[in-house]
Amino acid sequence: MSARLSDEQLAQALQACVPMQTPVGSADRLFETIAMTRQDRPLPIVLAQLRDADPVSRRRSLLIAAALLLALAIATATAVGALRLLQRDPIDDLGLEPPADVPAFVLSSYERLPQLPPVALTWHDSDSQKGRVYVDRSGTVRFDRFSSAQATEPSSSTIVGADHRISGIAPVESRAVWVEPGHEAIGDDPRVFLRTVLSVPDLPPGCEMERGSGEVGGGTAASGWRYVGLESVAGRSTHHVTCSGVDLWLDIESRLILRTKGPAVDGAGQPIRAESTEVTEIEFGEQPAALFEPPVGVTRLSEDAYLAYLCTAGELPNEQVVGLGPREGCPTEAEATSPPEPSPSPTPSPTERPNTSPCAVQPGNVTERDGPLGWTQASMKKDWPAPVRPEPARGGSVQPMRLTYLDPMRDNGSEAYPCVDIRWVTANTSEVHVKVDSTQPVVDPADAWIAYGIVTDVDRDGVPDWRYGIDNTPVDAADHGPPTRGWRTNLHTGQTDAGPEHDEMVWSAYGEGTPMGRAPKSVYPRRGSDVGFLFGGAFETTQGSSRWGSELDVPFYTWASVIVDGRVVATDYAPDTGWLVATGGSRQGGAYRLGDPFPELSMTVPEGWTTSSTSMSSRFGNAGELRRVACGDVAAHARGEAYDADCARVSFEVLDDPEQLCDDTIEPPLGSSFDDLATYIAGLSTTVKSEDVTVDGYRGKRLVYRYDEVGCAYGGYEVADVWLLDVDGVRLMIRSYIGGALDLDVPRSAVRAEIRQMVASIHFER
Amino acid sequence: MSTIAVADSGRTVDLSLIQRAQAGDAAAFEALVRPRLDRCFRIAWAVLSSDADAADAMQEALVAVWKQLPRLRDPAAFDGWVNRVVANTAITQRRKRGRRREVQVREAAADTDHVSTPTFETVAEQALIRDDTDRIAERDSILSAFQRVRPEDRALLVLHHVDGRSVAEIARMLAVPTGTAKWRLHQARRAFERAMEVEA
Repeated sequence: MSARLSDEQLAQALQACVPMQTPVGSADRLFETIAMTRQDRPLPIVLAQLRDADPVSRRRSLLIAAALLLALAIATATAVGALRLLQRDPIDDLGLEPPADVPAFVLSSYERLPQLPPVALTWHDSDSQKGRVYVDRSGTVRFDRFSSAQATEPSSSTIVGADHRISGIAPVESRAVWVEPGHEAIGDDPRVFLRTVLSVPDLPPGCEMERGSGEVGGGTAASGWRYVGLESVAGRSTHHVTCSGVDLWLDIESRLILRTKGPAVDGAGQPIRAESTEVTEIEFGEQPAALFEPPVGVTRLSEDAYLAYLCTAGELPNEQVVGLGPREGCPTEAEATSPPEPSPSPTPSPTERPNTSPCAVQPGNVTERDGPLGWTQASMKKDWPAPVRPEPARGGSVQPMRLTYLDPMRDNGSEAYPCVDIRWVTANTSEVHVKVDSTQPVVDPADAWIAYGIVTDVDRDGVPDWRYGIDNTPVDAADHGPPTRGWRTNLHTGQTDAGPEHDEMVWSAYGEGTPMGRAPKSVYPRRGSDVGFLFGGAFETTQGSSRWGSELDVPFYTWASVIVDGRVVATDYAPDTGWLVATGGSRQGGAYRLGDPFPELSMTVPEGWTTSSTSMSSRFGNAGELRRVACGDVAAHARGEAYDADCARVSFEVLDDPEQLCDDTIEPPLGSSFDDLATYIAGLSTTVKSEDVTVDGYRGKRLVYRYDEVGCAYGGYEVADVWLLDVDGVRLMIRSYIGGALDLDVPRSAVRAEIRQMVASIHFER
Repeated sequence: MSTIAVADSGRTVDLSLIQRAQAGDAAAFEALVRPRLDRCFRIAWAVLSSDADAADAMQEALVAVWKQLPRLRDPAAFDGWVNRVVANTAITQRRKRGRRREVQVREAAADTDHVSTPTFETVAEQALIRDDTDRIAERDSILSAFQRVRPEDRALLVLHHVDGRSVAEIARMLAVPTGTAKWRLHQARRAFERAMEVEA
């Protein structure tokens, strides 16, 4: 055959080998799956879980919102803050003149929501969603949802009562039912939840619509808002203000937001479709009491019965579901047909404060102690023989996990033991990584008994419930295997479940019944100075992701300690007081740190990213990947529902062996220098651009690669950047992957710019 | 009543079906997707070279399409978007498959019930029955040559030369300028021709 083919020849050739039809049965399998799969709805609101079908998430969001609002209220109630607010807030300015203080005017919108008088309004948004809101004098709010913009009757109604309970009207088996108020579900004035409708998500810095917690008076929040003009919306006089392409129209009298419009260009200046929400009808005045009461003649359903129905009804459109909390989750099919498994994380009851005396008394039955505090063979079956961290009488504070929690240094009581001086902690709901100041020595525990671990507060009462640990105790009497053992102890009963060495099931009972039979794992010692704990993860199936193990979504702290000659000679906690709690979804932006086996670096990461869950991959123990959460729908991602195969990632790798990039052998073999590798990668046919760069003083290359891969094993279908840096002889590769589905919600160019800014912010420890 | 829109590609898109599917109508989604299944399968197959893997990738991709559909802002872009999700899913799956490349196509096919769709081997076997020796050899060489082309390029070739997708459509699917898509297609074609030369 000729080497050059005509179009016809080429088509014929390809048709000869490419299957022309889908395999038998594939279509049926697909559409059966579709029928059982719920769609991810676009949510034009910040607290969108109010309209979501998942009551657990909805309640969680309500509680979080309530907590945040409470914190905000406390902060702004301080005397200084109140005075400064009075100084700058033109609250009494009801004229049609431009507000004297535009930022304060914008901020007053949310701040005044709890004072909103009775009103009824209808809103539409650019996603063709429609809703109606009624507010009565008590502050009770009714949110009506419609199946389409044309619908005249609501699909369901959620009533958030002034008594902090939620009720509503929803279809159950094609009949409208009244869902009775459940237990107290929120902690603040129901009117503040109007911001779930009248808001603009992802506001750029300076364009905030509310003060950050603790910020009062003349802070920087909202400082970027500028006045545009006086305009009428829904028959009301509004002040039109703008900030970085975001526009708001604020009702002059009530400060209610009557129209929003998001930016029309992304951070890189590329045009995007602007999102908008507009109040099309609004009327202030008393609302009929009947709107907030059960309709006459309608079947009543308890909250529990309704939630049970939701569990059996399958996936319902969000518009048809009352925003009620709480439920413990619907049983899976397997759970419904099999005996209950042991609780994966039993909550001790009753809660009693554990022994926190300074003496090293092992929790549990003290009569079982055998000899001085120190390692013996019997220790292998027991908890760490030192008390847990003392707790204040009313429990410590709980702070959301940041990308990296930085712990003070040299605070372990002895500078002689940097191996138990915690530097930082990274964690998500699957894994915890503890970085200490030096590598862990592999020593006989009779000489130095070294342990690392975490302590959890399962019932969130401020009292420690479980201690997990790993230490340098041999796993068997014959000293076979790695010098490690893992365990967990119920701090109330003293019962310790010991497990074998790392990379094996540590708490076998914990994992029974979970998919693939996996259980939490721990890693010690690592080749670097990290300790890792793995509680669960996800594995991919053709039906999506499934989780195994458990989620670490309860308060925890980490600890490291060493015992020499029967005495605790050094102990560090991170945090030293209070608790951390990891959540799904994105993290607050901030510092992210990496250490061994990477060159130690810190970088600034914007909001929307999280540390990657590497689950059972070979990377376990390496916090070397950041992931941009989902493709915009953070809440869905947190529930594990979002399709995230195509989202953005940034990975860090030390290239000891360039062939780890590939399945193929590189011929001729590369030299070991940075230039050898840089030249090789720059010469790949898929590398379309290579330029010299300097990152924090270290030389390197920024490579732009085409839709394939650098080397063989990685890359995406989209153009992305790779940095190859020479860090004192260490070849550090930073690869970015920008997926195809991202542009549904987030402009790809903006993500690329985000990644470049992150890399530009890298600072190496020297 | 159907609302037909003309997409940028010049092809028609049933907007009402898309809108109904976006609203959660699974039947509308089936009506929308069923005519596109074979094309999706071919794209996935071009990347994965395995019936079973391609069927899995197609399934995963189209479930993702269903879940994400409410967020698709431009219904006229539906086809390009679906193609892209399928191709990306297949590429992701291939990447996950990574180092277990030793799994043989024949073994994978033997584990499935999909007897009606040819694999590389079954194509050749069927050809043994139907075709004369020269044509068997030629087809075999085509199969081998196709295997030599990078998966992403194979997908481009199938999209353009088997499914008749225009360069502009492919450009939208890849989110690249038309000129870039044209260049990639040219490169893919040249790669295939060079592979054919080797196999000849």
